[in-house]
Amino acid sequence: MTSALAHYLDVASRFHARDASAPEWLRRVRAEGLAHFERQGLPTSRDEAWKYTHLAPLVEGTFVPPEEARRAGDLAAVVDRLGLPGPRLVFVDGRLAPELSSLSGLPRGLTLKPLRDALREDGEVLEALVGQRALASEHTFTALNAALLEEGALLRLAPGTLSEVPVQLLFLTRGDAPVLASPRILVVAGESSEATLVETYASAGPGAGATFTNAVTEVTLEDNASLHHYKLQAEADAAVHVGGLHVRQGRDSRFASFAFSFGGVLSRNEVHSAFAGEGGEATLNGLYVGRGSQHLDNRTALDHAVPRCTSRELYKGVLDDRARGTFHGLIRVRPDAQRTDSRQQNRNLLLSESAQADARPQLEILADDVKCAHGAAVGRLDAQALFYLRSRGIPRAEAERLLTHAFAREVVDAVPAGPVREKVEGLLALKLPGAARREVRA
Amino acid sequence: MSTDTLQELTRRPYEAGFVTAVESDTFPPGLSEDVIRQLSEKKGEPAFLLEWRLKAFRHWLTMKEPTWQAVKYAPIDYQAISYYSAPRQKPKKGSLDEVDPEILRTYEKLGIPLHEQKLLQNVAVDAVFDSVSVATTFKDKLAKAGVIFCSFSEAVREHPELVKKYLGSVVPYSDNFFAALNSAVFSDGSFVYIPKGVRCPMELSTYFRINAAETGQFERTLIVADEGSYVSYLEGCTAPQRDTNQLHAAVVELVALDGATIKYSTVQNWYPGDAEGRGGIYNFVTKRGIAHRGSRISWTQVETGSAITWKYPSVILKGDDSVGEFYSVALTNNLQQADTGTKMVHIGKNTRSTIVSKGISAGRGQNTYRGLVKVLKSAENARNYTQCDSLLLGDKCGAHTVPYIEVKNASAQVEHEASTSKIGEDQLFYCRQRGISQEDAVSMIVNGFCRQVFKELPMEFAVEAQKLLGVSLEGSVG
Repeated sequence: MTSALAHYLDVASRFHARDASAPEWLRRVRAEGLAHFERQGLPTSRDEAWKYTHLAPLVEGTFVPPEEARRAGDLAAVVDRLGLPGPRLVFVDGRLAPELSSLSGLPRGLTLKPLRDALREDGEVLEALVGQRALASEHTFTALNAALLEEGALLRLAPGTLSEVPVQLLFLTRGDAPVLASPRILVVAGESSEATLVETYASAGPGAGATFTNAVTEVTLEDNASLHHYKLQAEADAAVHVGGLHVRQGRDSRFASFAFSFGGVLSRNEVHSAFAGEGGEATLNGLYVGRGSQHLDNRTALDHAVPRCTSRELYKGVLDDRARGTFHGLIRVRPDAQRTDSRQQNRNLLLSESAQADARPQLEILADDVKCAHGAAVGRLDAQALFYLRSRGIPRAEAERLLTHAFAREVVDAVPAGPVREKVEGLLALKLPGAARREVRA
Repeated sequence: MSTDTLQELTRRPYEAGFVTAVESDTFPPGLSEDVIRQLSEKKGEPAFLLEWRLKAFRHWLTMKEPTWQAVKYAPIDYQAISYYSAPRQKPKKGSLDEVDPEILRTYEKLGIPLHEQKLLQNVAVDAVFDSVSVATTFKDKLAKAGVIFCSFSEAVREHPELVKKYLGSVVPYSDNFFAALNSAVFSDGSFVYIPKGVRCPMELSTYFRINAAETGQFERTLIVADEGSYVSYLEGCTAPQRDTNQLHAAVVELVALDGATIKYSTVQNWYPGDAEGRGGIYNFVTKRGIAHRGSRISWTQVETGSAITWKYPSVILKGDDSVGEFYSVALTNNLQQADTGTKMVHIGKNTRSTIVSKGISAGRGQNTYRGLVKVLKSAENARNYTQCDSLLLGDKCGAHTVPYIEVKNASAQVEHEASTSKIGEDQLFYCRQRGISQEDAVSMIVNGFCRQVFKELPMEFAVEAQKLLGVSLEGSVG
């Protein structure tokens, strides 16, 4: 057994001993999570699903969950900068920070609760939800998350609820201790409800040390429900981030996911969506921008299990310095899923000689009446486009900046105008190479 | 189209499925160092080759059969296979007249023009019947050009220095499980050497045929094109109809030295098994070429046969300005499985590769494209274009696309496109409306789907490929 695996097994066992008075079902979920994690272990590059991902930054650190909530009073300015208008829960180093959170103005029919409270008050609801979409038996980091299940959020929408303000979950790490944060987010959108959920992961300082966030989000969309899900991951350069979003879509439901990966020395972002009812639509968009020695890894899996569903996917990567971007997108069309319409695109822009991109678009098609296509491309800035701009007197650096922005904007432009897009644009402007540090108004 | 028509059209029998009654000299089943020594002795091989075989065998013993592929088969008992089978006859023949007439008739049935003056006047054939090369035509004309085209065994005897230099230089014996097995027990195959600056005066062709039951065919092909030379090589395969599975684990190595061009075309029509999936050939083949500066290696394959096809003809683009191409049509019907594709490894500057893969699935067939495009740091200005299209005929079959793209150089331009579709009702309607029968319409559309690949095939093969596709598939649209 590797020492890293032993460390996490030890961390989980100690946590279980400390919280021995937890309800029986919760102890069972944690124990099963631990068993699955022990069985699967930490992945290596020999595992097909982790072929291009080197877990050294994770294996080398000894991350532990902080036992006590940490003082967070000096983070108000950070929350103001990253926060959106509307209800939000803020977590600092994996622990809920009630003084920074705000649950006022929740629309009728919308319930947002810290997971700690829900574990106490809604045991039966949670027992039926936890681990239903994200299987600890299949994903080792989901198993680790289950073993440490304690913090996170529960978002429920009663049937017919239309929530216009986005709900935000803000996860901050301070970087002054090697903390392990394991949030679990549970979302149930009732029939014909509509909502927007934003998960923001960022570093707040004062430290710049390594942290490890291992987040799992489980989403159930009932018939005709609609969810816009945004993930803005802009953690510090030393951070390790592993995230899994698992969705089940009911009949005629609509799911849009936007995954922005900007931060971390190692970031793995997974989005899995399964169609359980006909007429569903899924849009998976992603933008990963890396520099330095960042490794940004994206994995998507769409399971067309029933007929007549539509999916669209666009993932783009901008990679500078020695950064490495990885995309693995699977579209599975099961035997009965006739009239599936699925399209996937992955495009990578390499800005430096040492940047790297790996693409693995994958189709598994077992039905005949389907339209499926995927495309992947890796290249650098178009020499002709550069020439065109320069021939009009635009200096080379500026022309490159323009083209790089234009490349990245395709994903940002898919975000509906509003406060979320402004936040994304702000973070992107800070991240893109040679970016002019100016706020762009939507 | 109705299911009845579909079944009727896909039930066409395998036309090359006859057995030839030839007495053969066959080893009892089993594999050990002794078997290899015997085999080597029987073939009168030099010591270096026996040593190499034994090294491969010892390495093979340490290896595990791979399981990552998307094909399923019952475990193979390697001790139940006979590793040598040769038609029993006089040692070596001076002309075709001496070849066993039974064998010649087999080739005639297959439509292989062994007689020089007939049909395909410009094709030299090195026919491999089970494991021993039977006859080689056009020897003289080739010899005049300095081209060496002979069976592998002959090359070992006549040109040991060339064999020693290039054998295993592209596919080392330790490469993979089946390549190691082949290296240990390969019985025969073809050897081609094209001298510097020579354009091979005709297309070279080998016809493989597995005849004896319970034998594995382990042939080895080595083609060396010296600087500035050109060769086009054709390979066709058939096997008799039997209800047990037979293993075919071949290795093909291509060496294109500076400025050389090798065009390698395969039409593979091994026995695919019956409609219930009984019998058929396991076609587990390692094919790879190394392209030196300014050279070009082009693989074209039409894979319609075999119960399982599992191969990835690849090109190592080692030299600057080298070019790799892969054109493939793979068809799976009934319970056939195909997991095929290519690897293009860009090492040199300005290297270019093109991949065009067309997969057709019918019946309960499973068709997988699996490919790797790897651009190493040194491959300045590398360029790849990949297109993989799948056509699904029927709702019980599957099409899978598993490309891997790894780019470590920013100046590279790599593009991959894939699509999956079926024959549209509107396309069929359009044809029928103009008085074209359903069957002809489907055939026309499928041929159109494969056209990009067929146009890469030499003339004679293109015709054969189209016919094969017709036999295996025609009209099987759901």
